[in-house]
Amino acid sequence: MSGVFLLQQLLNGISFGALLFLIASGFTLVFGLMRISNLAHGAFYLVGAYLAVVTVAATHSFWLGLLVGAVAAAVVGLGLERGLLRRVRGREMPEVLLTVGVLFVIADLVLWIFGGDPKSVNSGNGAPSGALVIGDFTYPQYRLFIIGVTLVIGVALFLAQRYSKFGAIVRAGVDNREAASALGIDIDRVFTWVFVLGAALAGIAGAIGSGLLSLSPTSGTEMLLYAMVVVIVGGLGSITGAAVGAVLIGLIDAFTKVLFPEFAYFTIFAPMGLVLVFRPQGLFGRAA
Amino acid sequence: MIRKISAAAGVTLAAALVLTACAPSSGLSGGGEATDGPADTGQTFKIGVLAPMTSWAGAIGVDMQQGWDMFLADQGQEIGSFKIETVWEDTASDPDTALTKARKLVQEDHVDLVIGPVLASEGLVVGDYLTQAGVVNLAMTAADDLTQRLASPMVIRTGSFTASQMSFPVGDWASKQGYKTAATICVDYAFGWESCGGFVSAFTAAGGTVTNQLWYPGDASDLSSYVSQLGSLDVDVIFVGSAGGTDSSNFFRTASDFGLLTKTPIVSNCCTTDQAILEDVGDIALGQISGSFYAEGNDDPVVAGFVEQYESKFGVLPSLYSFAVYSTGQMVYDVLGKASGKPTGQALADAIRGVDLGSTIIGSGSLDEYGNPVGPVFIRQVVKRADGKLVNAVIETYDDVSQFWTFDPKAYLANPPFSQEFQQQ
Repeated sequence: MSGVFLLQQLLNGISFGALLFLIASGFTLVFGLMRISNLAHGAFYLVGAYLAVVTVAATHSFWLGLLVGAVAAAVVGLGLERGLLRRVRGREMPEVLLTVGVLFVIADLVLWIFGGDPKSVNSGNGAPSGALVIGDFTYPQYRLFIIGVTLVIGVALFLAQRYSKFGAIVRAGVDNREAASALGIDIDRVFTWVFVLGAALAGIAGAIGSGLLSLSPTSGTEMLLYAMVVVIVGGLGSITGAAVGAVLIGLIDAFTKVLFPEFAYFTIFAPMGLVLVFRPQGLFGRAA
Repeated sequence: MIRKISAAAGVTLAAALVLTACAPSSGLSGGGEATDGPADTGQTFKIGVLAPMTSWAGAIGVDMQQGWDMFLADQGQEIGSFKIETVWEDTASDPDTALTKARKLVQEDHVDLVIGPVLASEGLVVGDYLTQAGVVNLAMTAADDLTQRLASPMVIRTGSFTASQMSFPVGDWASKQGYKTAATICVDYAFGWESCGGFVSAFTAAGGTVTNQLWYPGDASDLSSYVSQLGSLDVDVIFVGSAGGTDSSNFFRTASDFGLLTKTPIVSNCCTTDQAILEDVGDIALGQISGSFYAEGNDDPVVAGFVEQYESKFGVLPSLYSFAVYSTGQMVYDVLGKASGKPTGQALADAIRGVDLGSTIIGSGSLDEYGNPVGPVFIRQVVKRADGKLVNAVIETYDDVSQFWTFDPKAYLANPPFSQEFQQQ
């Protein structure tokens, strides 16, 4: 195995992991605060992705597509939180069923509106495209771009959670909801903002992801599955955990497919299984 | 509990009323009151169609409906002494649902034949059931064994060729281009094994060597690891056998990003350069080679006429499925047009087996004793039409391709079906 090939595989794993992190970060953020397994997260991915595809096709601007995708997902998130989730707050089963229902409805709407054929954000249009070539080494720029964007978003989330006032409020809410609201924090409003932020992150993931992986109406469920696996490995509610879990799974996936192709089916789920057996709270999760 | 039972009884009663209410009306249309058709001697011929209209393969169902609509508009709702009635059922892209709907078509709708289903997973279950029920099944799946080791007298594959049958000519063609070594990448389930098996068998029979075979899981979304691997190989040609969905889009985009498309020539199975994929990936697919029994860019006047008419009617190019349901309709009409009494069961199956494919848009050929078409497979190349649309044009035609290629059917059937382990006849 040559050095060039090895480096390519390393970057393949990291860039796929980066996309996984983008998808999982919003999911874990919402879970950490609200204790909701928001299965509609996959629907936010779809909304962001399809609107980005349409916008980029119409305006030839990748960045506008990214913006529209993120905003649209955030708006749908706001509607879901204010209009529906609020009514079943604190009841776990209705919350899960409601969000999975929303996922199905949106996936079928997407099938109805856009059809089932594969769609994607066309390369170029202001986003990095083509290949980076250094001697023998070739690597797609878009994948490097995904790694870069994810680093920026990940660091921003981490810093905001740790150092900003909003981050402090969110952390207070995570630790003790009742005490936080007793201190005069409007916890309902915090819930809404975090939920909207999570949806926007899924929308961004959708817009960026659809430049890498073609979309179909079932992409939402696929991506939701990835998000859940990453979050289970990393630890529910932990941003650091999501980052480590995502890159870990990306790398395992890339190298297993080359070294042990017969295990290609288990690259995503085997790490999850091992974590569930030996450290059920996840690598960075707190024991319940 | 009692309330539940009485509710169920109510529903049954209501259903019975609806049924009896319907029965006389369909009887009347045969009794002479409906006189708008010239050849109305009152026989209704009921066709059930099983198509995926929702879930992941939902786009196929839409294509089939449009193809069938156009067929009925072209050929009329009446043929010979029969009035055609079509009953559509959605399989939801799921084998269990497909079987349930097949039962419904037979037991409640009393259809005379069933067209479909399309998905390989659905095809074998439904074919098995319809054989037991004695109803003719005009299958549209590519699963090899449906007309090989599991062939049934009632099942005829009118709406597809086998997966390997469409790849044999690609292997032969690749060898004729002077390629000596090949690597393959195929999706890791029956359709991929069969697509790859066809290529490998014909390529090696023609003197080539296959050095590497990669298999990717059907649910793999990121194919970069595989593309990097292919890029590190030193081979003359790469064969791609994708499922024809997001996997082939992802393959082309990744292969283009990694510079593979310009490094090594690529040839592929029927579905990797499907119209829907070309629509998605755009110009990077230009020049790509594949093999199929349908080419939307075929300049044969019959096919070109079909494509033009479809395009002006629906605003999109006809897919393989629109084409296949249309040609299936032609075979049924060919039989019904000549029939005096209403053919059913085995007699109908035998009559359909006798149809000359030259009378359909498939162009030429016949059905073999196993119920599979022996007909033309086109080597296609993606070109840009005058209006800028990408289409698969025909660059070479292999006529009378059999599902056994040039191999002896008996020896072929004695071998196991294609799998990761068994690739070379």
